[in-house]
Amino acid sequence: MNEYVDITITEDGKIEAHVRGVKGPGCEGFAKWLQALGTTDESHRTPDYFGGSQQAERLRTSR
Amino acid sequence: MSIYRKLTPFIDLSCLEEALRRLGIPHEKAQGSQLVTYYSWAGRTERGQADLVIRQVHISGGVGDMGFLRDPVTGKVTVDADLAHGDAPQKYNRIMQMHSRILVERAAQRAGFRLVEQPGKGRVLRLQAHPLDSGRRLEPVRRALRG
Repeated sequence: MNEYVDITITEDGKIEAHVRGVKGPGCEGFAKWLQALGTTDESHRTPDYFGGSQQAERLRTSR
Repeated sequence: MSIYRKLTPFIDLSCLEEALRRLGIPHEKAQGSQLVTYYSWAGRTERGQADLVIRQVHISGGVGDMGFLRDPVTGKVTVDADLAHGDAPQKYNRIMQMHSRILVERAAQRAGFRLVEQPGKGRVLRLQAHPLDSGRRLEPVRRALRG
């Protein structure tokens, strides 16, 4: 799947970022460069994040 | 989607200056340590000194200048402006939106991402940041996940 950051700049200049296509811990690093641009008002992981981790965990345990 | 983050960006004077240039808003800039004096109430009252000033005449309906002052110790930029009159709030928002865009553009370039503008709704800006070399960038993560 295509990996990218979807960025919205609101009318008053706030920055919203959604990491798309990167599952699990990798997505934290993927958008790290945006984190340094300001103070975080809101941050949360979405269901896909956990889905990716669980999938990776399943892969590890099946070996 | 896997992670969501909302940020209030720090004001960067260089990005701010570029934003004003792109928007065609005239401004005055400090020369070295010589800050620019700015005024309120139609130029009648001295309000303070700032690194960057937009004069009231360029803020239609505004009652004073708009000043941006950078703290030399913390680097934090504070804004002194009357945002309750005329089109000052709209103008301020336009400046801040353009400032954020430039901030994102520069950070994306440094981090090795390419920005693609997307159609946005209303005055909201939408950009997609694609890694220039996604394969190499994510390989350590993929290796770690493979165990």
